Amino acid sequence: MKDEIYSKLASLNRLINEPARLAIMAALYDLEEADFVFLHRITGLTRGNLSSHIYKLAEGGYVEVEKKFIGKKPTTVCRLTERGRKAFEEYLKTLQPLIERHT
Amino acid sequence: MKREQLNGIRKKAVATWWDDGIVETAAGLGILLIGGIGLLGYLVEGKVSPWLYALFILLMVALAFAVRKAVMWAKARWAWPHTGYAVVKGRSARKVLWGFVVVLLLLSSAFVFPSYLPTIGGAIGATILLSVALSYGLRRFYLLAALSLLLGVLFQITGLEGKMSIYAILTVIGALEMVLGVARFVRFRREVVRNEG
Repeated sequence: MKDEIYSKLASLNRLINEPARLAIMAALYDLEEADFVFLHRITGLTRGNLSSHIYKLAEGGYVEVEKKFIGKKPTTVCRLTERGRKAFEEYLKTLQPLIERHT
Repeated sequence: MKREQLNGIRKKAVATWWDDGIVETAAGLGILLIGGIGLLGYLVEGKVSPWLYALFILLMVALAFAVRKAVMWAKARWAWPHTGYAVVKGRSARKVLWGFVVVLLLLSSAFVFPSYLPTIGGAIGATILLSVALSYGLRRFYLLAALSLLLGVLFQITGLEGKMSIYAILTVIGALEMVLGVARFVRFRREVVRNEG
């Protein structure tokens, strides 16, 4: 039993297992896409923090970032990739209950 | 981070889509138009050319497609400058399919028990409204669902004709949803003004 717990913890997705990045992924999970202003409001992260965490998630292939016009206003929008969605689901299903049980 | 906290963030993100009342107003208007035109068609049945009636139905279908565009336009103008831009994800194909199966089952029961059409119509409305309430955590939709079922039973007891009762349910629910949406929009605008000085 203990071995199983240790092996699961060892394979913990380090990219997701960080509160700020988890919050971003949770906010994006039920959305098609959202911009920085929205994510800043929902997660409560500072703009600098938000930007750096989104950059890390984008580097890991979990989030896509795109610049586009909403009406006449240029906006940077983010969306979860299929890979990011699956990683988040996997995290919720297997790793998170484990962490909660042992913390 | 605990699961409840993550769920809280997810709920907050989705709730923003409904907070401004724009989606509700548009959906209410759409349902009201369908019910209203159905009711009108029922009342003047035989007096209006079937072609004109078919044209109305086509117009309704076109309107349904225009609703999403109208919602996006309204949100870009009145909501997103204050809340930030976010578009909620559509339901998964599996959920949509299940929804269709449930509604089809209820509809087929209307053919088996045609005399219970008002109650069945109310139950179909209640099922759709309940699924919205459960999917998005919107408490006011539970009330609308209860009302839909109640109206169905009421029209059944009073002996209102089947088709007429369905149109009446659609008209009442659509109008009420629209009023709720507009009230929510007014509150949202007031809050925005208060928060942003």
